[in-house]
Amino acid sequence: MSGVVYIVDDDDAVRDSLDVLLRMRGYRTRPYATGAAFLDAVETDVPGCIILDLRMPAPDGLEVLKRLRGRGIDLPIVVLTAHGDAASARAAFKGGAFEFLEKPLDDAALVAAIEAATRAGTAAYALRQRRAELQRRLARLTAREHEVLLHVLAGRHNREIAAVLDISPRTVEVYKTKLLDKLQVDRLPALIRVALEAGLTDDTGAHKGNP
Amino acid sequence: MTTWRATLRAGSQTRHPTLPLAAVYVAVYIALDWLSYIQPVGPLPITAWNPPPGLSLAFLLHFGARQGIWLFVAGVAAEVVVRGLHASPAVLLASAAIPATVYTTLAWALRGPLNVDFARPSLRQIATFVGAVLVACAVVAAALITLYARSGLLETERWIALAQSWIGDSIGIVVTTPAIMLFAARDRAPPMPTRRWLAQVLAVATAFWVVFFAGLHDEPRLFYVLFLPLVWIAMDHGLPGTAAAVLIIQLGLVAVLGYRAGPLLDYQFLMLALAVTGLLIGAAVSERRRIERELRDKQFELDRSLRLAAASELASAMAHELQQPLTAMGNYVRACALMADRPDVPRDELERTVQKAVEESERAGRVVRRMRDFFRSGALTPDTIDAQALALAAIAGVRDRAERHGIAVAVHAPPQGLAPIRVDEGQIQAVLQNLLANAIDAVKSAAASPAIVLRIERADAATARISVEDNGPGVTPDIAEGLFTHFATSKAHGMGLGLAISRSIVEGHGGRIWHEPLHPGAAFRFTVPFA
Repeated sequence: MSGVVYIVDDDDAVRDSLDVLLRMRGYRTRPYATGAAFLDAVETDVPGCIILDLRMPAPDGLEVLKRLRGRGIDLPIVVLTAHGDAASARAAFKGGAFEFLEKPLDDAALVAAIEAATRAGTAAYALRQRRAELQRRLARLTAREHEVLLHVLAGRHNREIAAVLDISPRTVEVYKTKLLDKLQVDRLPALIRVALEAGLTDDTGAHKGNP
Repeated sequence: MTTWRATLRAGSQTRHPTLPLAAVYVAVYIALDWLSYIQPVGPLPITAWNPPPGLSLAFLLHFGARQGIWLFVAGVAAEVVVRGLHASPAVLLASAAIPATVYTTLAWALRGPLNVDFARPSLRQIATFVGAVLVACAVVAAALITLYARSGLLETERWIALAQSWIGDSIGIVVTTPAIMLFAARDRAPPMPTRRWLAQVLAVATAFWVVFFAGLHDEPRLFYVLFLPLVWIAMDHGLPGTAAAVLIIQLGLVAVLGYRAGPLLDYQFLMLALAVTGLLIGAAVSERRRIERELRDKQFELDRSLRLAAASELASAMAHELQQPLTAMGNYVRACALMADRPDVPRDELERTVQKAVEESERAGRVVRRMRDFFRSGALTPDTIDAQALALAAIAGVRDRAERHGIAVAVHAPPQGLAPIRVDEGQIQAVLQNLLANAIDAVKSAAASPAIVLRIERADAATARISVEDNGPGVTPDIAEGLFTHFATSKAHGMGLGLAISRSIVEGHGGRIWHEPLHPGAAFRFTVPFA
């Protein structure tokens, strides 16, 4: 399992013991003693998850949670709290915590939570990676090719596209072949799926196609 | 009087006198009228001491102004029975209707807009009561004298008659009504005669002797002497005692003067001043005592909840501090288990991790030790003190609360006394207060004749034993199990926290604390060292 587990806890022993235990379980770990040190070091784009103690000197867990979200970092966060602290548990969930564990930790719950969080974090990472790759491919399209792609997404036939762009249907067919090539797909349905996955939508509008 | 009081005690929301009770009222009214019909103006019902309106007002204050018709019935009956048909029926009916109407209105006003309540009288209420009575009596006197003058029954001495009518009714009400109302509203038996109480009676008697027998005959010049014992009584017993004393002084005055044809009217003005002064002082004393008591109760509750809050704060801080080493220890040990299964992990890393787990267990131990030291040496300043004085001080702290719930509290000590003990007085006092508060909570709702005993005795040559025993429902076996160990209870008012702290304090003194079931009730005992 290739995920990074960030451990943020101000208590040396708790932090170190989590570090040892999780490394024994095969995770790559990165321990931090303060929220500030963690926020300085955390990478925006890695697979993995965060174990975050709520009760720390400022910035405390909730504050760290808030700043992570503010920076658009969506690594899954497993929050640790004191037993029976329902108020901060609720606040943590509202702040977007992935899972919530009470100290002293139950081993099975800890393993399950980190497993699930890492999986979710890795999946999100993979999705981000793919989207970035697709966007890189989209970036290689010329303006005209991009325009044709949008019309294809809107579901128009070659003849309609040709009429709108004032070119011959055969030329439209040539553009389509270039699109398949540049986006590295072999058929039209795959082309449409990839375009949608990359975040492209049909925003040409019907009025453009129907004068 | 027993029937009367029994009904007053029953005190349902909508109170109606039963017919026999109304009849009793009328009969007592007639008897009072007959007894107090002394030195009248001619054949008219005008005397300088007229208690029947006092009885009537008390009757209406209790049963409501709607029972006013009985005042008219009693008035007519008294006229006929006591004085015979001394005037035309029309005049007789009118002379009964006037006071009945005015005093019914007075009762309505006192219960309603003037808001006078003898169950919880304040200085303002008593002053309002006296003022309203004086006005109402003036109205009655003016109306009656006009009636008698118009019907030719009163030729001369109209001003004297007016004054006598007013003073007679005023003093009759001011002296009688509060005494009846306060007697009915009292919540515990009158105090047993103590030496001080007897001294006060003696002082009143002495003052009487000075006023009437040692001084100049039939001259009220020394009357002021009576103020002294009355003020003393007022300061000591508050309003109820004063009301009783005023009534007794008035009866004595009537007995001495009325039947030997002294100038009762002159004395009654002084008597009115005496009664009003006494009642106002008594009311002020009672009100102040009530406020002091309420403040003390609030303080007591506050202290108790603050102590509990501090303890719960401490418990939560301790729980947090223990959580960290326990969490770390668990993680290390689990990691060790994983390492032991893996041949590729170097042996010294396993040993290092085991060592870390051991360190964490020692850290947890340090947290617990620091906690115990906090109770033990942190605040402990032992003194050599007298156990009996300590017990009496503890009892004094809860006396008011206990009395209000009718709980008998006593200190039992060996007759030959007990050697002084060596304890931190503040801390042991906190333990006693906590045990007594628990005992009060236990008995106040349960036992028929609730009682708490604080027992101090010799346990052995080196230790004294202090016990708080109650006759409440006792401690159920399942609770008794962990009575002193429920440290982390979440209940704000549970026994657990208080007893756990008590245990820490007692053990900090080198003693022990335990619970013993009684039949019925419970005993909490602890030992402390002799000095």
